[in-house]
Amino acid sequence: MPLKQQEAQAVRKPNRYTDEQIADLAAYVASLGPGPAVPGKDQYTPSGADIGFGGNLFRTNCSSCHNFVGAGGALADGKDAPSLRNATDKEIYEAMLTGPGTMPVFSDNQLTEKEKQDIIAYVQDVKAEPDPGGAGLGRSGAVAEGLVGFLGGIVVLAGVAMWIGARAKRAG
Amino acid sequence: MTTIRGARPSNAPTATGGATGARPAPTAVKNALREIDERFGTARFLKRNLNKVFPDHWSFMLGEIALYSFVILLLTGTFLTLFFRPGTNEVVYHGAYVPLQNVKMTEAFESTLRLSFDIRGGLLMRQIHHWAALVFMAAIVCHMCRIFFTGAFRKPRETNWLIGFTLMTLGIFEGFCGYSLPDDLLSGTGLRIAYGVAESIPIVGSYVAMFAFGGQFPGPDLIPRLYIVHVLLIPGILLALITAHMLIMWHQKHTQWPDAHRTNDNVVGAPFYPAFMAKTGGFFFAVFAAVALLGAVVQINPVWLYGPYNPAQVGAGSQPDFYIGWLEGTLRMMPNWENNFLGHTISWNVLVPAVVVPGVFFTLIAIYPAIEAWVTKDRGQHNICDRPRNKPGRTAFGAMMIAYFAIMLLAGGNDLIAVHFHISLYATTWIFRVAFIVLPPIVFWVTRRVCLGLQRRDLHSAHHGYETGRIVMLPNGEFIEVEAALPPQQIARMGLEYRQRSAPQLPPAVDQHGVRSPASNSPIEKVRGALGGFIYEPEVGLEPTHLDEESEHDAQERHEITSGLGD
Amino acid sequence: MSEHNSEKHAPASVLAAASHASEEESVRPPLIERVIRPQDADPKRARRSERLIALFFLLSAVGTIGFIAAYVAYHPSNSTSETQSSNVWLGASLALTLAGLAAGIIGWVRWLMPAHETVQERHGLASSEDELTDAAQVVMTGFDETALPRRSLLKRSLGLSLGLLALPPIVILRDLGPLPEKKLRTTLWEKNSPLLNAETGKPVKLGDLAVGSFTTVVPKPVDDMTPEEYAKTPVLLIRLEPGLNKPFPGRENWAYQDHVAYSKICTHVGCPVGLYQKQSHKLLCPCHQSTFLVPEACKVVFGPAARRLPQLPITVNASGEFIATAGFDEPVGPSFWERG
Repeated sequence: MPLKQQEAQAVRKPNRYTDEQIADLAAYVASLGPGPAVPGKDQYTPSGADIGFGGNLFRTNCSSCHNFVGAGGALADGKDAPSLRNATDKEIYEAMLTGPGTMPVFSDNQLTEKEKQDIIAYVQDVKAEPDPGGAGLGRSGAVAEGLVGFLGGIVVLAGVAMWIGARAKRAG
Repeated sequence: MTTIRGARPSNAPTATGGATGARPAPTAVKNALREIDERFGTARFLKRNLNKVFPDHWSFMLGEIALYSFVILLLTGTFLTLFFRPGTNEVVYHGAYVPLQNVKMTEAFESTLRLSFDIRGGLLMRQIHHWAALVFMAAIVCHMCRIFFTGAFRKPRETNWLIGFTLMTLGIFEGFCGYSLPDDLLSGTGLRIAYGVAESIPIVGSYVAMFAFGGQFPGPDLIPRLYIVHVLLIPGILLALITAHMLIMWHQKHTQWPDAHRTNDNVVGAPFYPAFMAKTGGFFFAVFAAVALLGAVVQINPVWLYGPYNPAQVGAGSQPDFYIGWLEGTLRMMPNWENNFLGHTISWNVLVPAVVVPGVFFTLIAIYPAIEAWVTKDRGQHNICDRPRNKPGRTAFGAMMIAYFAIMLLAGGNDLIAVHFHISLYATTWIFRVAFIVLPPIVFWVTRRVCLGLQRRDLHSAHHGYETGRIVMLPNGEFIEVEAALPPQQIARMGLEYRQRSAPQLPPAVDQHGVRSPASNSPIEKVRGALGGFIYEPEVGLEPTHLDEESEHDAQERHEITSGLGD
Repeated sequence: MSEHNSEKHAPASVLAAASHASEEESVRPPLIERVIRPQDADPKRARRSERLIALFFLLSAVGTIGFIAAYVAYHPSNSTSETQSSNVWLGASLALTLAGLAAGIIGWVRWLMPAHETVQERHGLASSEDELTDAAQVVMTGFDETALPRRSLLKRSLGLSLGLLALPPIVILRDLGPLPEKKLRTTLWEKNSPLLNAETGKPVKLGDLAVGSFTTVVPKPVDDMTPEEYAKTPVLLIRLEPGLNKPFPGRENWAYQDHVAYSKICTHVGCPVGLYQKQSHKLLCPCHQSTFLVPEACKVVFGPAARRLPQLPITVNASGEFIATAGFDEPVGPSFWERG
């Protein structure tokens, strides 16, 4: 906020208002008509959540825009679904509840509070999990792996082949 | 340079001493050989083949990368088969990876997770296996390009080209089956796409899909069928074909680059035993070390992040491995053309990118040697590699095919490109569509011109030598730069005499008695002539190739300089 | 120097040497160039190279021991970070073992084995004309011995038998899969099928979805369907803004109070179309970017899909739960030849 234009992709920017000012703004907007309230800590904190079920929910509702583990993805109309790398529990809950930008809305009737907590638990846990196989390459899949295979594998091995086949150094 | 008379490694008193000593074989060695020889007649075979000379150039080792990757795939693959279970029955996960606890999944996926998180060395073997598969296919592509650009597919090696081509297509299919085995969300999406592609085939599509998958998607027999194809059927065929590939290469001897002392009828290099054996053995360990290191420090195919396959789920940024990724690109680029008539549908939007384009691409690759042999009417044996610049038409064609491949491959990742470079998604689709039509012919033309230019420079250097930077004033006051002749070995490396060899020798339209040649009127011959002229004929003005002949221009120049006259 | 003749035959000097060498009963191929490397000229240098090679081999041994140590030290099932440690240490030590062997062997051949350039004749692959004639003669004579040329009954009956023999391997594969028949045309969706949440199995009620919301529904709990039945059933229930939906004439009652239901299976090659963009009301398939405009009956506005997503007619029953009023009126998923 503020958006450049209504249709533009929203990008994370430095805060212009303090938390108090934001709360005051939100209270004013809430007074204008019905709508979801700012979630409380007990709503968005995923304690005792079912991470496995959250993963299932995530993959049905979220991964087609945000990628398997929330690394982000391309959308139509020049937009993209952002990476969830820096998203806090509260931000994820709020996003599901309000549907920012072109993201659909997931009301508490559709995805209950518990289910939202499951999803948040999954996202945060997967983010925190180390990549057991080594460098994660942004968790973006086969494109990065192919690049590494060609550049890392073939180029290095061609280099070794050049060493093997190189002209022997002559004495003197 | 003459061969050193009587000079065999055996006479050399060098500091490396024992390695070249010519002491007679000890009785023990001879007896051991005798035991084997009396049963198998091996002594003659050993004497001939241990001495076999192999030329030494790094570009000849690209095929070895593929060969050794295959061996690594067999070794690591065997380990994986000891633990992987190709079952489609549903189980609930209770293993070590927390984000999938209590999730329902197939046994195939569960056993893959068990391999990764519960079996020591399991993740390493999985990763080495997958990295080796990528290196295998990448090496095949590089090796095939090397064979292509050096003309090593010409007689007598046409069969090996076809075998290699078959190895490549089988390898692609093998990789597809392999990464689909874990039944994860990413590869399952690929299988769904494969089913849709099969359905699009006219007349028999739905039958092909149902018979291959065992019913509607996903098909209860799918994973077990992929498994047996992947661990038994294709590896068996690959092993047999690779053996044939190597035996043919062994029998025909390797090609070599043009150079001093190298002719079409000899091979120069190092003997198989012990030098070449050691080089190739060491290289095996190097290939293994490279994929082991990759398996240790770079994550590949993290199926636990993708989750088990579910037909209602999909992830953004889903791409297959690169050797299928180019087909993903064609599917994304294709406009949505479909025709319905008389109750039947032809889905051009699926058929063209996924069936026709690869069909054409692979057919061109497979029959290229036949096309070139037909156009150039070349029936000779070729054991010397062409320098790519000396065959501009072939090199330009190859560059164009690589351009097509690169565009298709990049198009397969267009959504990742859109996100990373902040380009509109639809714009990337259009950019690739236009590039596919426009870029490759440009690449063809530019490559051809570059080759001709390089040839011209080679000829100039061969005739005039190189510029030494020394300026000399002639008696008449003219300044010239002294050019020194290139060393003969460098000229030999240019392979100039091999340029003209494949120029088409078409019959003259009318022979010396005025009789018209029957071939001159045939439309096929006209096509052949046109193709040969445009693609294979070197440009006029590049003659002469023979270094002891002088062009008129050079003769005049020489006269001017030596007589002190001229302006 | 007659380099340009060399294509046809080797320079006389090499040939002469080769034959001369055979007279002297040489066991190794003749040399072209004797290469004297620093290691060949200076024994101290050779010993230094030997020590370097030995170092490589020693590193390789260290790697092997490291591998065994890493195997014992880490167990991947303890935690994901221990999985990572296990993988990286097992892999790095294995890589060290192999790289040490590679470097040692390659160094050994480059520094201590002779590097002289040797030459060997190719001895053309083709046999002599006489041998070719003889071989052809053997083939022809043997063929005559088979009596085939004379015995046409034999030839024809053999042809029949062998020709037919190609059939059983094909016939026996008939049961690889069922015949398509009408299978690709129908799904489990039918009149009164409930719209159940695909994850929880609970029916979706009117009011569950906010404006700009969407969910995935199935007609039966997933556990009650086979994977093949399940694969074609996912449907997207979307709630559009009031008044936005532009149904086909005659299909006005296929939507219910701005809720519309379309098949989630892309008509291109079958990926689930999971990407709903609320502001532009587009459904984007992430696989190949086919885009469907929901308010206009999911017509295709970009990408390789040629057909709209099939629409499921829905209504709400007495308990306020969404149900289908009929099955799909066309086959779901990618096109096929006999689709129509």
